[in-house]
Amino acid sequence: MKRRRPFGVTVIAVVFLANMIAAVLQTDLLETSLPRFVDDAGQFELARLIVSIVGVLLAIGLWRLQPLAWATTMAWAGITMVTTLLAYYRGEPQFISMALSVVAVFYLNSREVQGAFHPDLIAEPDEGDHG
Amino acid sequence: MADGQPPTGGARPEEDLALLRRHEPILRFTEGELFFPTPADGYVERCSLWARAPHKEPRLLVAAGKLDLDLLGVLGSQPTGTSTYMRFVQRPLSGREYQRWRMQTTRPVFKSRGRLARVGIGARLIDAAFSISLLLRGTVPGGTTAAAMQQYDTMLDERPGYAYYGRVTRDGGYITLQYLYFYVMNDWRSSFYGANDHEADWEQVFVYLDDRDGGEPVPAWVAYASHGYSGDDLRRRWDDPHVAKEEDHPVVFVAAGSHAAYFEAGEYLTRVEAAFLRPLLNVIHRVERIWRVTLQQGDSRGLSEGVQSLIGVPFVEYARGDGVAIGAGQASGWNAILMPGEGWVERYRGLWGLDTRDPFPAERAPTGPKFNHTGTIRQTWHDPLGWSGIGTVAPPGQAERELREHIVARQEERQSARAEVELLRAATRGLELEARAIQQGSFPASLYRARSRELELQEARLDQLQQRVAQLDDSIRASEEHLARIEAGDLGDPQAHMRHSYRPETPREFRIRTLAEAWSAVSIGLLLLGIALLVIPGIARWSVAFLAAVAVFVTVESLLHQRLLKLTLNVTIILAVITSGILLYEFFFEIAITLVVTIALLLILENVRELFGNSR
Repeated sequence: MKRRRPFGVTVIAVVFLANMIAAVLQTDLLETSLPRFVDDAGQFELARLIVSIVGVLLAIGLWRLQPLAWATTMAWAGITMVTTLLAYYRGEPQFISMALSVVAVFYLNSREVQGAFHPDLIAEPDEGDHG
Repeated sequence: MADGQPPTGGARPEEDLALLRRHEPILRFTEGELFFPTPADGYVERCSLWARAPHKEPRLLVAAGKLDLDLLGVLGSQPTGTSTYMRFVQRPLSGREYQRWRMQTTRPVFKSRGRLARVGIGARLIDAAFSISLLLRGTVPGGTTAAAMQQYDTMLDERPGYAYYGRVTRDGGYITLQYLYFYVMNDWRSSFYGANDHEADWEQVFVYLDDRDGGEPVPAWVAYASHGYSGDDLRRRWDDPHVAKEEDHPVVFVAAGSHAAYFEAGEYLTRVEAAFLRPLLNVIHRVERIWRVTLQQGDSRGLSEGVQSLIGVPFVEYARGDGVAIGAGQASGWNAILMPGEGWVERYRGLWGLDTRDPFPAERAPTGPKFNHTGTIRQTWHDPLGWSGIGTVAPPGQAERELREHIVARQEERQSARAEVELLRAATRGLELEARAIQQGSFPASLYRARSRELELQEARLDQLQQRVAQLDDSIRASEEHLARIEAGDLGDPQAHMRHSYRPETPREFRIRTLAEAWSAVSIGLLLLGIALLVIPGIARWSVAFLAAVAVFVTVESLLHQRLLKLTLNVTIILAVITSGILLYEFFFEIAITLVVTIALLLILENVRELFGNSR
């Protein structure tokens, strides 16, 4: 049976893709070849490129409802939250990033979304759950 | 039959004995088991008998070697408040004697792997606390098992063989065959890494025969006593494929040391729970339900499993069935002893072994087959049907007749309810006309209100009756369909009555890697050492070091149990909860205002829709 992709998952996948495009546009990659870019780029730019590539892979995985993409996105959100919590602890809060991560985690962990990625794992709610 | 045992115990001893013989269970033990079912007289003859009055030291009533079952019956009744107990091992082996006994090559050897590696870190912490608690509680002294084994060997030399006590009762359309097995020692803790040791052990197996009128009684159900389990879960239908049988004999797999009985061979992970922590688990279950049902979040069984592991000490019951087998068609057979109907069974309410005075009953010896520790009569004795939840279940041979009679009774009830509906409906219609007449005439409003109220009550009663008729319709239809199935010989799912199916662990579940096993063995000790180091001043900022140590510990644990992904996801969710709390704290006013505005807008929208007649 064909699985339906929840709307929110589509949004997250599109956001990942948009982020990647934005990140690539901010680099000189389009104006040069990849080997030269790698030679010239600083560590920060390289890291941003790698993260962008991972973002693309995640976007594709989410679009295709791959369980690994779901788990990786959750872990990604977890890492983001660790950094935002540390920033909050240092007195440099990033509330928007915190809120987005929380929404993403609770949404991805919802039964409906988990069911889309892991149709075999989500059991039917028991009788008492309907009330 | 064992020597010296009179065939008493029932009104029809020969018939009872024949029935017991026909279905006597085959017991399969685990390789390494030390003790097997034996007659109680040889044990009692080696015991001393003691009495302990409240706040006084124990007093010797009968020295070892002078006690027998008859005397036990005579001395069994002591003044109220005085407890009695036997003592089989008069002197446990010393350390050197014990080591010598351990080195014996003839002693059966038990091999097992990874009890602790099968459970999580929380359970291992509780297990460590349990081990420490043994130092503070009253326990069976070390060396007792070895001494008991030596005495048991002399008993076997005097009278080789295996025995059970049989009791037959007839009640509720069933003939209950009650098989009682007496062991001189429960050595689950000292020999098989289990929860407890105690002198003496009484275990039971029941075979319930369908007592057909004039026909040959046939087995319908079996129930095996096993600690912690009760009611319907204890019993299996005779035709259940999970009940091993050899011809007319059920096969029982006996757990090593504890002698609990199981239907299937294997290793069972059980938990001995600290009952006082159960409310905590109930709270967690509620939180989990809100998480899962109200918030529609994904499966969180890990949470309750984790908490459950924190309130229970994990133990493995080894019921492998790869050792000695006793019973029909096996290398060794049974001596059947009919349980006497009087004497020691009826009169001795004391313990059958050493009273350690353990505040938990685990390390105290059991009472006899008839009595509980409180001196009351065991349910297995006075109501063996109710004990396994079978008292309300019709025997298969009588189910057809009983269901047919029940259907007739229900049909009559429905007919009566329908007649009542007709009568009430007529009366209600009259009342409704009366109320309308009062309303339209020039009569007091109070009279109209009184009649209207009366009308409402009658309508409610009529609704109830109609519902009752509808329910009866459904019940009768269901019963008729079930009757048709019974007539066709279909008794339905043999495990439909069970709430929990206790199955042994699969080989995959206990295939423990050596590394994980080694880690499980040393991890709790390492954690304690780490904590001890942390409290030494100046080593590190202790809170950071503690968190780092726990993080490393949990990560290693997850890696070894191949649960790193699960750990990552759980940590992410915990972080999300913490972050939500921070956001709520920082933006409480804004969030509250947003909520109020949202609710207000929704209300306005709903009311405007209603105003324009678009209520969809």
